[in-house]
Amino acid sequence: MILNTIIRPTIRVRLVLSLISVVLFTGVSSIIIGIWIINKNILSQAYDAVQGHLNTARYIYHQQINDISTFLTLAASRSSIKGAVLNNDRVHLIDELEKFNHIIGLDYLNVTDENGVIIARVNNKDVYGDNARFEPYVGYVLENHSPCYGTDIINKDILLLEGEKIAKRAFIKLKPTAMGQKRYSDFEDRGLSIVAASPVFKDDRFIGVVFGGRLLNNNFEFVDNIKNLVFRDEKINGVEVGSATLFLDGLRVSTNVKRQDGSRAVGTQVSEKVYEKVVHQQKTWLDKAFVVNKWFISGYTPIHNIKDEVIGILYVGMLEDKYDQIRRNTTMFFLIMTIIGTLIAVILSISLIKRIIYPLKSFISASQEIADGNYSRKIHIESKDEMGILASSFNKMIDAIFSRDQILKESTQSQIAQSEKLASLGRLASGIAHEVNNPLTGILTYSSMLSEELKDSQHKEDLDIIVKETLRCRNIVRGILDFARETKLERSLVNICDVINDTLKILENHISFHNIRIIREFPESIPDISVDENQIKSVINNLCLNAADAMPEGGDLTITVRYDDNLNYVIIEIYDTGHGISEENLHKVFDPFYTTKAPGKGTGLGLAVSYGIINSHKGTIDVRSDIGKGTVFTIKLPA
Amino acid sequence: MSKILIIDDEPIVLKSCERIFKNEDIEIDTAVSGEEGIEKIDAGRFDIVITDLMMPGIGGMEVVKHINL
Repeated sequence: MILNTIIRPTIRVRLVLSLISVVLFTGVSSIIIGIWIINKNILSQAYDAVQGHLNTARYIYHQQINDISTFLTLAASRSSIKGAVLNNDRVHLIDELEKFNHIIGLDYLNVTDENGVIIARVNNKDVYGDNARFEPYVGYVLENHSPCYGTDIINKDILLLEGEKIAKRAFIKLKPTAMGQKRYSDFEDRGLSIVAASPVFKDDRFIGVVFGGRLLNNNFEFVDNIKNLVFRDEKINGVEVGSATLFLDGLRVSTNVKRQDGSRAVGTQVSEKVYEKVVHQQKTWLDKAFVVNKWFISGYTPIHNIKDEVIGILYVGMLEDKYDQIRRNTTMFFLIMTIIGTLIAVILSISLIKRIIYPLKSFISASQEIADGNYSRKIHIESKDEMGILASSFNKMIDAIFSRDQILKESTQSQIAQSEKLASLGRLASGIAHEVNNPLTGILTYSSMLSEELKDSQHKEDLDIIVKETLRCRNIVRGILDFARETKLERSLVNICDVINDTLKILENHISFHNIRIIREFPESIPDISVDENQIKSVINNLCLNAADAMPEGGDLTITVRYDDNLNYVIIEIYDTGHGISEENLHKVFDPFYTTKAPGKGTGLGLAVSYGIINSHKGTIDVRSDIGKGTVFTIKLPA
Repeated sequence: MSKILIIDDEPIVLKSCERIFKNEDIEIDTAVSGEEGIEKIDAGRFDIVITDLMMPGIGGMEVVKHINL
C-alpha cells in the first residue's frame, strides 16, 4: 500500500497514527458513553415498565374486590333475598345465594340480620347464629348502612367458622428465607382475604348484611392472571419473566415466584428492607430485588385494610435477565454500528492520507532530480486543490531556476572566456616582449655608442632622440614583462599605515605633489597584515601618482585606513578631488594599456599591475568616481 | 691583450658586445651556442667568459660547469 513509498516513514506513520487514534478515541468514547446511556435508559424504562405493571396489578386487584361488592349489592337488592332475610328463611336464602355463588365463586358468602347475627352460611350451612359484627366490614355496614369492600386478615377461629377446608387452605408453613424479616413462629394460620359487604333493605328499612370474600392464601388465580395479562407467559431460559405475589404482612401467601424445584414459593418472606419501607413507611418500593434465587426488577405496594393499616403487600416483578437481554441486544447493535463506523472512518482517512502523501512523493522525487541538475522533470497533478496549485507553482519555479541557471552558466562561461583571453593575451604580450627585448638591446647599444662617440657632431641630437625612444620601448617592454610575470610574494608582517607613510614620504617631494594637500585618516591601532611590502608600496605609489595626475591645478589627496573586524579586512581608500572618470571608462581603468594620458606619458600598465598585485594578495581593488568631483580607489586586504 | 668570450644564442647581443668593446684594448670572441662555446674554450685561452644562461641545447650553467672541470 503506502509501504513502498520513498517518504520517510515518520511522516506517514505519524499522520496515520494520529488519524487512527482520533478515530479510535471518538469511537471508543462514544461506545462507552453510548452503552452507559443505553443502560441507564433501558434500566429506567424497565423500572417504568414494572411501575406500570404494578399499577395494573393494583387496579385489577381492587377491581376484582369492586366486582364482588357490586355483585353482593346486586344480590342484596333481589326481592327473593330480601324476603328470605326478613323471614329468617335459611333454606331459601342458601338456595338463592348458592345460585349466585356459582357465578361469583366466593370462598364464603354469608347473610346476617340487622344485628349482625349470621342467618346463613352458603358454604358452611351448619354453622350459623354467631355474631359477625366484629368483622370490620360487617361492622361498617351495620353502622353505616352502606356497602364497603377491601382486604382483611382473618384469624383461624373465624376461618374455622367458614369451614375446615378454608382454614386448612389458609395454613402456611414458614420456609426459611435469607434476608427475610424475623417472625415469631414458624407457621401462619391467619388468612389474607378480600371482603365485600352490602346492606339489605326492605322498603328503606335496614334488615341485614350480605357479605363474602375470597381467601387469597394458596389461591393462585389472581397472581397467575396478572402474570399472564402483563407478561404473556414469556420465559427466558425456561424461567418465567414475570411474577406476582400477595403478602400477608411479610409472608408470601399467594405467588407464582418459583423455587429451584419449580414449586411456588409460598411461605417465604419479604426482605427486611422492603418490609420496613412498604409496611412501616407505607410507601411503594421499586428496585432490583433478589427474590428467592434470582434478581428481579420489583415493585412492592402496600395493601390496606378498612382502617387503612398496612396488612399486606402486592408485588409484581420482572426478571432482570429480560432487561439484561434487551440491554445486551441493544449494546451489541450499538457496538457493531460504532465499529463499522470506526472502520469506515479509518478507511476514509487512510485514503485521504494517501491522496496527500502520493503527490508529496512526486514533489520529493522531483526536487531530488532537480538538485541533481535534471530540469526537465515536471510535476503532474491535475487536482484543482492546494496540491494542484502547489504543483504548478513548483513547475514555474523549476523553469525559473533553469533559466537562471542558464544565464549563470553563460556569464560564468563568458567570464572564464574573458579571463582565458586575458591570460593568453598576457602570454602573447610576454612572448612579444621577450622577442622584442633582444633587438631593442641591439638598437639601444648601437645608438648609445654612436651618440657618445659623435657627441660633437651635428647628428648628436638625432641620435639622442633615437636613444630616448628606444629607452621608451624598453620601458614598455619591461612593464609588459612585469605585468605578465607571476611574481612570488615575499610576505612579511607590516603595519599598513607605516607602509603608506613610507611611500608618501618619497612622493611628497615628487614634482606632481607640490600643490597637493595630503590628508591622512589612520586609526590609533590596526592589526599587522602579511604582505609583500615592496609590491604594496608600488601599488600605493601608483595610485597616488594617478591621483596627483588627476589634479594638475592642485587638490586634496585623502588616504583613509580602517579595519573591518566582521570580515577581517584592512580597507585603504585613496580619494582625490580631480576631474574624475566617466561612467563608460570606469570599468576599463584596470585594463592593460588603458591610459588617458598623452602618448609618452605613462604606459597604461600601472593600474593593471596594481590590480594583479592586490589579486595575488587575495584582496580586492575597486574604483568609484564622480565627474568633476573626484575619484576614490578602495583596496581591501585580508588581515 | 685581454681575451673575452661571449656566448649568447641571440646574434644582435653578440654584435652589440663587439661594438661596445670595439675601441678598447680587448679581443672579443663570440659563440652562438653552448656547444660552440665549449669548443672555443677548449681550443683557446680566455680571460673572461660571459655566457647567457637560457639557450637552446647546452645552457650557460653547463658551460660554467665545463670551465670548472
